[in-house]
Amino acid sequence: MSASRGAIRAETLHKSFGDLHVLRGVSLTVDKGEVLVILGPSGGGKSTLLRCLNLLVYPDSGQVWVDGVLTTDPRVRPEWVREQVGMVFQSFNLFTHLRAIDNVTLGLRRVKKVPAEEAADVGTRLLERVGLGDKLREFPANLSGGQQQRVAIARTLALNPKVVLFDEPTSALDPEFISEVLDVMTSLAREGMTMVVVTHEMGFAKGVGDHILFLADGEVLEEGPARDLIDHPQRARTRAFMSKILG
Amino acid sequence: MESGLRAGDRGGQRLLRWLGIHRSLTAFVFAFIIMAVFFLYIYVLTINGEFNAQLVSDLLPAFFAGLQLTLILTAAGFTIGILLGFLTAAARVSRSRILRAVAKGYVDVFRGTPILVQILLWLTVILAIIPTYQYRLLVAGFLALTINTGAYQAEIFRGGMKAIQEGQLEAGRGIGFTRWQLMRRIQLPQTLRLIIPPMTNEFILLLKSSALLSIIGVVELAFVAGQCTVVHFLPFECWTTGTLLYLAMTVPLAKVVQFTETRFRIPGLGLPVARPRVGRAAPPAPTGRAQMAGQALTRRANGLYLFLRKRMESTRG
Ligand SMILES: Nc1ncnc2c1ncn2[C@@H]1O[C@H](COP(=O)(O)OP(=O)(O)OP(=O)(O)O)[C@@H](O)[C@H]1O
Ligand SMILES: [Mg+2]
Repeated sequence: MSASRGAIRAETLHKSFGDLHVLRGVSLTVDKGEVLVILGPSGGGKSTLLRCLNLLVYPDSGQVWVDGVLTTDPRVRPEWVREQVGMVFQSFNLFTHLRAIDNVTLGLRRVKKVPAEEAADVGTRLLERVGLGDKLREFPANLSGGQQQRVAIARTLALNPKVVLFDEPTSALDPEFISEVLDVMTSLAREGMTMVVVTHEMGFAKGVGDHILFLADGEVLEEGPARDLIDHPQRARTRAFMSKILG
Repeated sequence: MESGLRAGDRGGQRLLRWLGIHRSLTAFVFAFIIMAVFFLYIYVLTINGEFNAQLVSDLLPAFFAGLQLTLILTAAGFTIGILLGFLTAAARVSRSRILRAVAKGYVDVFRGTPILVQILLWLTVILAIIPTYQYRLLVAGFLALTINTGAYQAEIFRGGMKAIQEGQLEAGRGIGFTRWQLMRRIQLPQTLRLIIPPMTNEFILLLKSSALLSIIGVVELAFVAGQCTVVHFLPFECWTTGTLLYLAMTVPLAKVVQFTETRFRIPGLGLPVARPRVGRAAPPAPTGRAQMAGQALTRRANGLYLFLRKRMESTRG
C-alpha cells in the first residue's frame, strides 16, 4: 500500500511514559534524498519521535516503514533497523576507549562483519570526508566538541544507512564549532542522504530543509515546505515559536 | 633581599612540583630507604647476637613453602572471584528479579560479616561434609577466600559498569549492537580499565586476609611464622621474617599495577590527566560548552573512580 512511498514513513505513532502521553498520533513521510526538519518547544516529543523511528524506543501503537519494510513488525530485529536508520546524538556519545578511526569502524567490523583492513579503509575515507583525516588516531577526549560530533557523523555513515536522524546535533556545541558540523550535514544532504533533523538552527532549516514539521505536545501542529513554514507560519503557536527563535 | 626570597620560594615550589610529578618514584625511594634502615638494624642485632640470623636462614625453606601456599590460595581465589564477581554484577543488572535478589543477597551476606566468621563457618560445613578428606582445611579456607572476594569484586564490577555513560550504550544500540555486543565491546573494555586500581587493592586485601586461615591450621605464611615462634621461642625473628615476606609480595605488586595503569591510560577514562611537566607550556584551556560537558562527565567518572578506590581501601572487615 502507501508503505512503498518514502524512504521513511511513520503512521499515527503513540507513546506514553507512565501517565505522560508524549506522542499523540504523529505521522510523517520523508522521501528519498529529502531533508525533514522537526521544530518544536522543549518537551514536545521530538527526541522521542526520532527514537521511535530507529526503535531505540518502541511506540505503543502505530507503524514505521523504512524503505517499504514495516519495521515495527515484532518479527523484525531492532538491531537490523538501527543499522538502516543511523542516529547522531546531541552529546556525541563517542566510545571513550576507542580512537576516532575505531569509533567509526566498530560497527562495520562487529555488526556488518567487514574485515579489519577494509573497514579501516572505509573509516579513513569517511573521516577525511568530514575533515578529520589528520585525527584518525586521536581519542575522543582529545578532540573538540565539533570534531567529536563529526566523528559521530562518520560513525553513523559507516553502516551505510538509508536514513540518518540528527537529534539537536549542534545544541551542545560552542558557537565557534557549530558551522563545521552544519557544513558536514549540508554536504551530506547535497549528496542525497535522506535525513530527519531536530534542530534550532533556522539557517540550516531554511537552506537545507525540504520540509518542516512543527511538533508540540506530542502532536504535529503544522507542516509544510521549509520556506513557507518559516516565513509564513499559519498557526498562532507556530508563529510565536518562530518569532521567539528568530529573535 | 626580595629577589632572594623569591628565588627560595621558587626553589620550594620546584621541589614540591618535582615531588608531585615523581610521587610514585618518591614513595618507592622512601620505601627503599626504610627497608634499608630496617635491614641495617637487623644486621646490627645479628652482630650483637640479639638476632638469630642462623635460625631465620635455616627456616627460610619452610617460610617459602608458606609463602607459596599464600600466593596460590590468593591467586586462585582471586581468579575464580573475578568470574564470580562478574557474573554477580551481571545478575544484579539483569532483567530477572529473582537473579537480582539472589545476587544482592550474596553480596550483602559476604560483605556484611567478618571474614573470620566466614572462615569458621566454612570449616564447620566442610567438616560436616568431608570430615576425613586429607585437604579439608585447605578446601574450607579456599572456599572462604573465594566466596568472600567474589562478593567484593561484584561491587567493584558494578561500580565500574555504572561509570560508563548511558549515552554510549545508546550510541552502541544505535549502530545495531545487541545487548551482548554492548557488554563485550563497549561496557567491559572501559569497565576493566576503570577497575584496575580497586581490583589491585582487593587482591592485596585478600592476600592479607589469607593470613586468617592460619587459625584453622592452613599452613600458609602466617601459620609458618606462628609455628616458628611456638617451636623456637624467637618471636622477633619469626614475625620479622613473615612481615618482610608479605611486604615482598604486596609492595612490588602495587607498583607494577600502578605503572601498567599509567602506561596504558586512555584520555578521558579513569586516571585523571597528568599534570603538565615543568617548563612545558600548559595545553590551552578548552572553552566549548560541549567540552565542558565532556569534562564534567570525565570528572564524574573520575569522581566515581576515586570513590571506588577509597571505598575499597576502607571497607575490608
Ligand atoms: N525514557 C523516558 N521515560 C520517561 N519520560 C520520558 C522518557 N523520555 C522522554 N520522557 C519525557 O517525555 C517528554 C518528551 O521528551 P522528549 O525528549 O521527546 O522531548 P523533546 O521535544 O526532545 O525536548 P527537548 O527539546 O528538551 O529535547 C518529556 O517530558 C520527557 O521528560
Ligand atoms: Mg530532545
